[in-house]
Amino acid sequence: MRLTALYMTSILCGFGLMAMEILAARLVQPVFGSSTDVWAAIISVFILSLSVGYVIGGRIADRARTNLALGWVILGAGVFYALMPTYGLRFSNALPEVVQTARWGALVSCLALFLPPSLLLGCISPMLVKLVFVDASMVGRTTGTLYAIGSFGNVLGILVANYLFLPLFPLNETLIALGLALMVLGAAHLLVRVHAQGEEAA
Amino acid sequence: MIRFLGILIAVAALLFGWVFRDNHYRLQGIAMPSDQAVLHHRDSAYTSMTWVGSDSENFLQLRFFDKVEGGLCLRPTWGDLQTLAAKDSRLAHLVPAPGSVPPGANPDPRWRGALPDPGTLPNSAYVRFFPVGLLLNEALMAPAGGDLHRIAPRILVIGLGSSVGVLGLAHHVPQASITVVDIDREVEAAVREHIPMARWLETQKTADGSPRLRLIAQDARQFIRFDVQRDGKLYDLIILDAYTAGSTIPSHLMTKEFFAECKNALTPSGLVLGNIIGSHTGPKHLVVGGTLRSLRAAGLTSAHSIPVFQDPFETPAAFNPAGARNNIIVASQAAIDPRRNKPGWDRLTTFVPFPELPSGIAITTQLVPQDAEGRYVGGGIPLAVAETAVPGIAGLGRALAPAGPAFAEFRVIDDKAVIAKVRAAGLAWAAQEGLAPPLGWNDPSLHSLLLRRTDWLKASREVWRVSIQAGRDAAKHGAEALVGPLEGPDRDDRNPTWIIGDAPLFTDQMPNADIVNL
Repeated sequence: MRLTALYMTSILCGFGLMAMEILAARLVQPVFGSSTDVWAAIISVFILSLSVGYVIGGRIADRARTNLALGWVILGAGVFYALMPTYGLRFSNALPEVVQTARWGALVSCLALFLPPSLLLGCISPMLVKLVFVDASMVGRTTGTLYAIGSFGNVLGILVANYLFLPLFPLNETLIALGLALMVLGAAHLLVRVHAQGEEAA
Repeated sequence: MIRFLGILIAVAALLFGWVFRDNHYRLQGIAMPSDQAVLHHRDSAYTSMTWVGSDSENFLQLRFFDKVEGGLCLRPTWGDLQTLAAKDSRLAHLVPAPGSVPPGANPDPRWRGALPDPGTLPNSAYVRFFPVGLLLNEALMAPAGGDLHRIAPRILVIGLGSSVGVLGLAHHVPQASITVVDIDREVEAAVREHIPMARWLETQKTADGSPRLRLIAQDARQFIRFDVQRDGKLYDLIILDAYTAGSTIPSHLMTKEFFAECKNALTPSGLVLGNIIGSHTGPKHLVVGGTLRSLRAAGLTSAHSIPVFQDPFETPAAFNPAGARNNIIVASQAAIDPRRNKPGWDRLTTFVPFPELPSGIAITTQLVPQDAEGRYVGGGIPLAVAETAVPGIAGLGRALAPAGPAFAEFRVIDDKAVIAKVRAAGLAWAAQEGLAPPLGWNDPSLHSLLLRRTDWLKASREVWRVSIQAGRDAAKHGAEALVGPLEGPDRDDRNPTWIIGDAPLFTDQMPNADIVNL
């Protein structure tokens, strides 16, 4: 039960992260188009935020003994998702013309718009490892399973966003719905306590 | 306690995001009518598109974000065309039997009036030039005596957009079998949903049993590679009109290798016709130069560029080579340039777009605020509203005399009392209709009103006439003059004597997207 809940968290966060990556293209397209420059900006920003997120998430995980911090991080990501429809396009539009027309312009916009929420979701993985971890002899298997499940969520997020969300639902409503899902998940972690077990075992 | 506060803040953020979410499509804009309504909005994997209509200015447009892709002028309506066809048999191919097409009234509740069915008259300029690709084909046109009604060409169009260019082509060439390839099936679905003429053309057959219109959702490069192998039939014309929402051409549809595949799918006298946004000098010259050079390198050696004159104040004599515009670039293995294909260019010169349609059926009026330099500063107020406040306003002010294509009448009204009355009437009208206040009417730089009365039929003919007149000048618009000799020992890229000296060669190894400052 406890393990299932943590795996579900991993899937949902992975789903939200990559769904945002697909939707991000639509968010910056009105200003920056849809060239490889834009995709380079989006992908680099998401991978960068994962990289930074892993570092920060790892530090938090070492201090935390419960899932309380995890709940806060997911809730925070949800807030960014829910607010994205209010500032996403306005921000890109407000940039000076020299930035809007430059090849690197999309990078500026993507850094400002997508770094915060994806960085928060990037923190999730190490925090989950800490919570799932039971026994040093099983560390390979547990982290491996967790990564596999998170990546499966990534794949689902890409495919569902591309084939279902984009053609069927407006962009803003999709973002707000994803934000709501993350908020519910975050609130659940805030309200239901899960203790790290490896700590006691060690 | 702090946890519950956090959740509460999150819920507040959710509500805030919902209430203050930004419209992804921007309805109000400079020079746009204040009564625009969104008829339909759809996001897809490739783009985000909005159908917009205006009661007062009588148009239906497909926008990719705020970029106007192409619009339909709504007169003549479907019903008007049926009436015209009953009188003139040359229009019979345009309209179905009464009752065979569902009524065109749009059920969308946001549309306040009844939306008439669109006719085929476009109000974007470049799409009117698709027939160029047939008229220059000597082997096709000469046996038919130059009559577009007597040829039965096979045409491939890459990039659908609003479909308005394709419909115009089907209008002019009733026996044409047109295949449209677009990567985005959502765009095709939207066209089928909103354009009864496209829906109807799909059900029609030419004399030899081919469909008049086929819509295929596929990447054009994949399609062209296997299509000819499949049924062995070649095309007489391939039209390149694929653009992304960023107004750039997908780079794999711009290379020498792709153009060679086009050549293999064409008859020996067939043409490639591309809509290329660019200039001869200045910031967008590499697009025009690269396209011409790459087409010729692929074996379509006779090439030419026709600039589309959309600005009523620009004349062929005062052609601005640095101005970015639509250019109709044509290329073929057969001779198509003005010096070697005089019959073809004479056909272009005498051709009259939409020859059967009577004038006076497609007129729109705009009343837009502008500043002292003549730049638009706001959105249009319907002329009918202004007319109630200031009777006879359409005759007030002074007339401007455009030097270029005379497709519109312009009057400038700078009487402050008149402007104040129109502003008050416009604001009252918007409030009564539940619309946002018309944009820019309180702008301090508002200097005068511009009344623009456009006859779209006349516009189609005038823009054609002036653009062909300009384009016929081979010293300015021929391939040799623009991009120099063919690839080979004669070509000296270090000492170019041609206009676009640094014209690049787009290849699959180095496509347009990889060339900086394009």
